[in-house]
Amino acid sequence: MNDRRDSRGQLDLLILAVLAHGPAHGYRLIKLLHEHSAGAFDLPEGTVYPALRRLEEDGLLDATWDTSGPRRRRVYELSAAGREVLATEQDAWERFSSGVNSILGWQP
Amino acid sequence: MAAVTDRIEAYLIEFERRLVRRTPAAPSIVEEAAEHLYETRDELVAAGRSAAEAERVAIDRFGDARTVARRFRRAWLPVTHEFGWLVATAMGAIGIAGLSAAAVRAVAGGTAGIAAADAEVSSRNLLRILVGFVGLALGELLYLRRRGRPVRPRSSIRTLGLAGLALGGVSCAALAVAAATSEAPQMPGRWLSLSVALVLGAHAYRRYSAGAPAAPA
Repeated sequence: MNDRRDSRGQLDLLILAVLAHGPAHGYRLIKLLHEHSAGAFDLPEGTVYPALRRLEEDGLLDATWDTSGPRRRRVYELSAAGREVLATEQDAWERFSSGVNSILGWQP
Repeated sequence: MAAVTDRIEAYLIEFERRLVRRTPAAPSIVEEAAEHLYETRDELVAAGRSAAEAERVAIDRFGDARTVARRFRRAWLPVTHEFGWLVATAMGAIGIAGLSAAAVRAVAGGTAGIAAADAEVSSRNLLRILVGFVGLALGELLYLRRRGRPVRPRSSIRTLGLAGLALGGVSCAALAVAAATSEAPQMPGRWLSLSVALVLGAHAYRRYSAGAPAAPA
């Protein structure tokens, strides 16, 4: 598995974290990413979909088609493996960011 | 829901065309992209934008078809693909090193007239050039796979044939001149070969360590 602290891994981590709050289709997921990052997360929306498919391929997400609306939507949710990876990576990220913050706030 | 107009459809046709033929589930990827684009458009129209403006914004936000399709292609490339690039680059570096050594020997001379040593060095360079040629073939195969193009024997043979002719021509000329001159020591050639190999090796390492799929900005 990739080191999820690189920029690709950061996107993976963000996707997993958003989906931890419940299943969502791509459009909704991207809106949530925008809203909860206070606009800081700004990238071409289409680039989220390859990440979703890759995470699905890796077994971290499960996907189903929702046919209840006028157009079919592909809905993603965390798999059990995804939850485990999220917990591990969240912990690693917190330790990493805590270390960076300590250094940035260091007063000699 | 707003009426379907040409702009999103044109985008989707372009997107589908750019999606690699080998990309698994390409139809469902296009369907998902369509759903996203139309949902964005509908939301913008509901917020008061004109249909044309809403479609333009929806496409702008989604990203250009080429970039998004490339991300999809890369998402499915196995790790072995990147490793293959590394191997191909390394083999190419060896080939260029062999060519450089042969060229320098042609200019600076061989190994002080020792025929056996000359022959050994020349055959070693030839071997390096052949390795480089194989690396080139591997590189082309990987390139075609990455671009999602079928490997057509005729075009591949033509490309490799032309490259082989160029490499072979240069190396034969270099080896011929090297055979005719054998006064100066071969050290400059070695250093140059080593430098070329190091530069290309560093490039290969950077390429490999950067990781395959470009991360979102």
